[in-house]
Amino acid sequence: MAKAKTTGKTVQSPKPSKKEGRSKVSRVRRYVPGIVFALLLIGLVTGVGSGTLCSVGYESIAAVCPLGALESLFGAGTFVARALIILVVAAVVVLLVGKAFCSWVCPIPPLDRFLSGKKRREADKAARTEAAQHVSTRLTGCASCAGCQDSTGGEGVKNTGASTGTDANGFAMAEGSSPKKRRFAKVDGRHVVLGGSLVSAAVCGFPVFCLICPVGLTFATAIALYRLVGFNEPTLDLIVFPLIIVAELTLLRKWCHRFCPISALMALLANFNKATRPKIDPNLCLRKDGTPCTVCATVCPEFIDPAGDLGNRALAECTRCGQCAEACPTDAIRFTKKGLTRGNR
Amino acid sequence: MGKKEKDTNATAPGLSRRSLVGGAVMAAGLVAFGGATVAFGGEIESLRPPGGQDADRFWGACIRCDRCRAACQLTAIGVEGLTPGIIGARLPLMDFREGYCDMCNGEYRCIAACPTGALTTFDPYVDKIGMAVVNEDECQLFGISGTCNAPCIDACTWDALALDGHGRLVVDEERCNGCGACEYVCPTSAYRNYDASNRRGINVEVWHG
Ligand code: SF4
Ligand code: SF4
Ligand code: SF4
Ligand code: SF4
Ligand code: SF4
Repeated sequence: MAKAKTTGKTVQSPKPSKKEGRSKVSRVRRYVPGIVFALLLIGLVTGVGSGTLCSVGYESIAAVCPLGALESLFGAGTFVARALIILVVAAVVVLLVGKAFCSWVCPIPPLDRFLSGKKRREADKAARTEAAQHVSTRLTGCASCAGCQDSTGGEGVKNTGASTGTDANGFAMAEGSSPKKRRFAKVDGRHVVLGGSLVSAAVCGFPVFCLICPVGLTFATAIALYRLVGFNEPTLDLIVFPLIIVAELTLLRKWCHRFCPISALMALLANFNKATRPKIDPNLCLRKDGTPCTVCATVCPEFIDPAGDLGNRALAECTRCGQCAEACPTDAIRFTKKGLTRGNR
Repeated sequence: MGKKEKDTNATAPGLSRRSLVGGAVMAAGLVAFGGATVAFGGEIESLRPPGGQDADRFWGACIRCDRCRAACQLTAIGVEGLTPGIIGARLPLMDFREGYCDMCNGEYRCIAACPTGALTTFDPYVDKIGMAVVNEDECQLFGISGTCNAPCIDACTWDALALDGHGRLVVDEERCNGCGACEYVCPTSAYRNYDASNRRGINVEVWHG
């Protein structure tokens, strides 16, 4: 199912010989969504009743999709204590690990990679490279380039640049040592879809977004298949559900970045997460002595600049995929304070 | 394709605006789509799992997560397909051809599993999943040669089924809570012979109290 190995090709860092202790996060991660999906399917077929990603758990102890829980509160228009408690739990999880769900659990990114052709993968790569060039421009503060001012206008990059901890040479350095002003994730189309999901649930009296949610439909397709095989129950669902998913991922390109309201919801809370964000070891990062290295920004699928938060999207959007840490030529990126060199924790 | 080329330019200042417009279109689409499904066809009446009888609450809260279906050990819960209308797709419904509800001896695993409160408390002496209705065309007790040994009567643990003075099956509407045990055991149309009526001698129907 999860053709996750295709990601391997997108990492185009100068591959150094494998060093001891280098982050394996990224490589391990690639298989996780597939494994999670497989485990849930086993639970589904064997009647363990673990559930789907809409809600997963054991008997009455369950996690639930925070968007679903909100939609359900809006849809029923009543105060459901259980949904509310579950929402709080989901919020705590996001506060702890940010948008990790997106690259560790969600079946959509692997599916998207599977559906995208070579041309699109190359286009994505080009977009990342271009985004990294903007980081580079912001780093070196090229005065002659007006593009920087333009493209950052309204995104708050400029003023973060100023408040980012800067070292003696004036080069931006992220997190780690110096306290810096929080850069919030941009409000964009996803948040509008999030609003639309809640409004439509309240107006129409049922969770409308759930009907077209690609995450839910991925499982619904699997369930329909299981009903066909196990109960001889042929349904239209088996054709329509995959068609909706394919339409969402191919016609509406960049579903995750532009439309997904789950991501919008998580991004709102991830603004307040710090503990597990990528952290830069200032002793190791090449930017310390002025090299405008953008290797991490070039590989980041979220258009983030992990080293200085000068990317097109804020660090709060980080999905903890680990690709930056894997690509960093000096192994300067860590996800916990523990990994940083002494004195920088 | 020309559009796609432009899209790759994720750094363009126009992107956030385009993203907002795209989001707004989808948000409006959601409201329109939801409204349209309600306006044309509206909510689909099916038998819902125990505790899901309050239609407003059930429709409003259910996120179609599949947990109740998976929780039922007697496979009494099925999945609503697209055919009756997309609005009901993936909702849980009672499927008494595959199983019946024994109320889990009071445990109600489906209700316990429901994370959203779409399924709330169920009292088998007051609430009803549905109502058993005898189909006189199919029930073999009504034929000229009444040959059925009426397993439904034995299956009903709520003492809602009996034979009247003429040997015909009757339902006590007070006692029946729509558990489906009768429909499940009824031998008529048992092998899914679709060319026949596909109805059993006794079927649990939606109940409006
Ligand atoms: S943005 Fe949405 S669809 Fe994409 S990985 Fe995250 S939760 Fe899944
Ligand atoms: S900063 Fe980007 S590359 Fe690094 S872990 Fe986060 S999402 Fe992945
Ligand atoms: S109460 Fe138990 S037997 Fe009845 S539908 Fe729910 S899970 Fe199944
Ligand atoms: S467990 Fe509750 S929310 Fe989930 S499908 Fe069943 S009724 Fe709906
Ligand atoms: S008559 Fe049928 S549905 Fe009604 S309680 Fe008895 S077995 Fe259950």
